[in-house]
Amino acid sequence: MNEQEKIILQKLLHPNLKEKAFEELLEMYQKKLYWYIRKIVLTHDDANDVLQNTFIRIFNNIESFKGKSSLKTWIYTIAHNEAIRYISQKKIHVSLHDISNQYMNTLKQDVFFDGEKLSETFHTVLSQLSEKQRIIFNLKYFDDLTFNEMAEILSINENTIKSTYYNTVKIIESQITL
Amino acid sequence: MKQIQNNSEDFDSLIDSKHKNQLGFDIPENYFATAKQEILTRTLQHKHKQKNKSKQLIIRLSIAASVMLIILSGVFVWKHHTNNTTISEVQISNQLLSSNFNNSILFNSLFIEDDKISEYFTENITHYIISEELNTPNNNLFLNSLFVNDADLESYTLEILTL
Repeated sequence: MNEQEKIILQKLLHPNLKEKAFEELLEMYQKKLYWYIRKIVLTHDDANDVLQNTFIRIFNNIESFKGKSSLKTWIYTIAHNEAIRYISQKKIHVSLHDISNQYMNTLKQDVFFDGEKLSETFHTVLSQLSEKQRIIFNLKYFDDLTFNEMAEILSINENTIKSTYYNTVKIIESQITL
Repeated sequence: MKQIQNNSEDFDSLIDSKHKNQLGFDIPENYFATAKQEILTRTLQHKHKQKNKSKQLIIRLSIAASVMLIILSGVFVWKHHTNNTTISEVQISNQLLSSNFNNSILFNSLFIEDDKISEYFTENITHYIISEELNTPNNNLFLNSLFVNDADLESYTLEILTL
């Protein structure tokens, strides 16, 4: 845990400073978490719902944070779990072979999706990946997290993450130029 | 700290453009500012709800505890009263059995027919009571008075009282 995280955590655990510190935390992670969640749930409205639930969960459970991981990875883990829970609830009536179609349909229904040629091609490739491959690729390529942080968030071995990421990059590069 | 903030701002604008240009993800205008406010409001509301829930829970538990206490007190008093009654009944029975009262009288009474029970009672129990009374010295005075003539009753009473 870096110094900045230690300071903000101390404030978050102090009853009188908690609300102010939470506002700081919101400022620090709101955008990052929003984009991370958006890539999982795809639409803006869903991402907004999940983001709000994530921060409420963070606020209510900060006292249970034991400091075994960094505050950043703990926050990302909560966001990840919230997003996965959200899409699992929505996927209930969708058959497995429809997942790729569902990905593109969900995306196209969103008024906040600008379907230009590049982005549409990118999403078509992403929709053909497994959920694990997609999440690993997104966390590294878009969210700029380290392999170690990704391992903590996803509870997957770091080497597995590395090999999955590089394989996924190869698949994507074979279809588009990053 | 300023360096971290600048880096963070750079990263934020980079992350925004990356998602917009490569993934085509748009967001409503001023979204992050309004969302921040919404989250803060919802968090506070949630906090108050939790507080109210805790308060309600405490009130409900207090009421339940009070009711339980009242019920337990009631049961305790009732039990205590019942035990006392039982003890006194047991004591009376024991006294009867441990007294010189002839158990055979009671035992034999079980084999007496209903229409003859009154006669049996007069014969045996009345005699037993009278004999008991006769064996008690102070009671002799009262028993003797039964055999004093009405005319002599006043002088008999005065005689006893002077004793």
